[in-house]
Amino acid sequence: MWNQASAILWAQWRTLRNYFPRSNKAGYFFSGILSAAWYGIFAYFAFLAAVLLARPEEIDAFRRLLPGALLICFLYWQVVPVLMASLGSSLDIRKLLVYPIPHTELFTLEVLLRISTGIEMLLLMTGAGIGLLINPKVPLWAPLSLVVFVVFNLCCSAGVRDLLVRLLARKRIRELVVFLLVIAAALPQLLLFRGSEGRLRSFFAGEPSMFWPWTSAAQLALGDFSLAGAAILLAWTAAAYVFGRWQFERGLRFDLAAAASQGASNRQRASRLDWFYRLPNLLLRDPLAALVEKELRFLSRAPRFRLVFLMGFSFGLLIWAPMAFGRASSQHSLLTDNYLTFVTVYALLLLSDALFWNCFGFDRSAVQFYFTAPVKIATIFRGKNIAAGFLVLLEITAISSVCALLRLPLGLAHIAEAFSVACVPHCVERAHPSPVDAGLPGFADTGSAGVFGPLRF
Amino acid sequence: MDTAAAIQTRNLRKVYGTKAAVDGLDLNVPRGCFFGFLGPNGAGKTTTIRMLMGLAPPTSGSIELLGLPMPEHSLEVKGKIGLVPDESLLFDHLTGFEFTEFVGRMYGLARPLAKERSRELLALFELDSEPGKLIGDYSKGMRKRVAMAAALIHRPELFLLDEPFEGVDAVGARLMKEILLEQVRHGATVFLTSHVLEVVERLCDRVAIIQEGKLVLSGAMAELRSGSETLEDVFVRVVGAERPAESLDWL
Repeated sequence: MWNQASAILWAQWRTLRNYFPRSNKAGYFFSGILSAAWYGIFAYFAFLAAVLLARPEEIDAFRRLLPGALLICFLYWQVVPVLMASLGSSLDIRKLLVYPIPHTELFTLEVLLRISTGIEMLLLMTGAGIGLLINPKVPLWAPLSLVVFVVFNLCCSAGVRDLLVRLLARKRIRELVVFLLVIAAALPQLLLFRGSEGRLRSFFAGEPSMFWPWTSAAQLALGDFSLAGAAILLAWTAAAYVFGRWQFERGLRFDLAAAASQGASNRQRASRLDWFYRLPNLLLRDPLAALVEKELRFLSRAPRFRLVFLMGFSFGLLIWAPMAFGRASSQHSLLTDNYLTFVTVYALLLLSDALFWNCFGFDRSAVQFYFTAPVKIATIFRGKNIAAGFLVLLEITAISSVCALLRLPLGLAHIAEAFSVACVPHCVERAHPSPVDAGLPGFADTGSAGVFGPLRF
Repeated sequence: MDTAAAIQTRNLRKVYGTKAAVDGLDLNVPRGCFFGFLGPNGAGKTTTIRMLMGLAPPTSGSIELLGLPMPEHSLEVKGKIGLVPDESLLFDHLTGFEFTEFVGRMYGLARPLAKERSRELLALFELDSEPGKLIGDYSKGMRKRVAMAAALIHRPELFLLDEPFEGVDAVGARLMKEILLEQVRHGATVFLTSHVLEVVERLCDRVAIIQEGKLVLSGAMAELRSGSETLEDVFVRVVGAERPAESLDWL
């Protein structure tokens, strides 16, 4: 068992190390500096935590603050592993299924691997634990509750990661999950906009409920022992273990091909949308009609495009609303008067990568065909731009409709102004054409053009 | 010596949605045999091999490997299997050496031994010229060769190979064939899927053909070919894939 476990942990370490640039010494050095700075900051915070928590006179303040601090640790621990998995720096434990290792041991390793993706929090916990050990007002057994809290986090993190990996492997559900995660990021702003500050303040500043694991862990860590507190923390840890193990087993049994086949069996929906794809044929002639039709088909099937299109008239509206209509803003501000235009520009920025920062469109593999097909490049640009323009207009229509449904202040002039924004992309693209790889995430693929694109806009 | 079949499946089924990718497959692969598992694209070959590897649970039916039922004895059986899977099971962020050493240790080899064998295997497969190169940067042929090297590291009794020669150059393919034949001579069993019928014809002593998830032909190579008929002729005849291009007048 130990040989296999050490081999897996070693492979995890090599995977992490190899993930950073290897051939370029400067890049390697830069990555090293970045890592040292990143973990150095957390080591410094851990040191601060140790110094602060060692002060016996501040024990009452710790009683108020420690539950919140542990809650932040918990949230960080659950989010970072998800991001790490999406970047490929986590070992895919499903690949180990073919080797002769019992599932129980695989789960133990999975939980151990969670340590490597939450080192920052482990540093902070270590600092806090050392500080509490030094504090004369805190009994020696008390910091042990932080160890239990770490185990709770590790099991929970393993379960959350396995659950998300499975959800993200399913077509359509993947987009829904990402959309919900993005919306969740805007939730605090929405709650404030809805006038829930009081409730939020009482949640964070008031007497924290003993029911939560971070509260009971904090109370025990400060030496306030109670049977109820210990039972709650242990119950949460046991629940996290069961959840983690359950999700892990489901993850091992998960059949990627079966999940993919469920998403692909929706032929009926495809045929219902066929009239939409064929619309260009009513107005245009081949090869332009074929190019526009292909572009519409491709974009509507590209998850990255679908997500940003959906976000334009949902997340976009949500994120600007508190600033435009929140109680702190005046009745008539630049943002309030031009809300629709602001949201439209924001939506266009979201769509920019897929629609108009790139001269050949989002479908990079098609570019090779464009150069071999007996069609003028100018015609290809025209086809791509017609499709982009059509989708931009569709997005603006959706934004205007949602605004109208929500009864936000909206006039014909506002709508005309918003629609006029749609002309910008084509002007920008003609001046600054740049290629974009749809197969890669984020701005990394577009180089400086991608990074500075929004600034140009 | 154990006389149980190396692979035995009974009424094996795998259903995706409403489609049966493998439909009631009864396979019997004797020990010490070089077995070719053939079929047109989408016939169910990879699904079958994934079920044998324990990567996809069957919808129904049973699997016995080396005389032991799966998944009940999966740990015992997995330790005796060498795999050349599809590319998704390789670790892209490890080098070839790191990967083969890792696989060796997963099969219980001590680290020094795993290192030593990795070095030898990578030299044999000519993958040692760029030791720092990550598997993610390998060509298709190199990926197959490193998978083959990893499959050999623990001297398995049964090889499950999914398109092992795909993308491999002639020299590499020849080396792989020689090694596999040598393993069979020493009593190992090789179960491989391939689209290269000439290779299967030259290497395999038994063949099975699957179409639309069902077994349509199985037997010894010598029995299947009659007269001047090649394996390709048999394959085309059995899967009914004779589609003359003349049917398209404009072509």
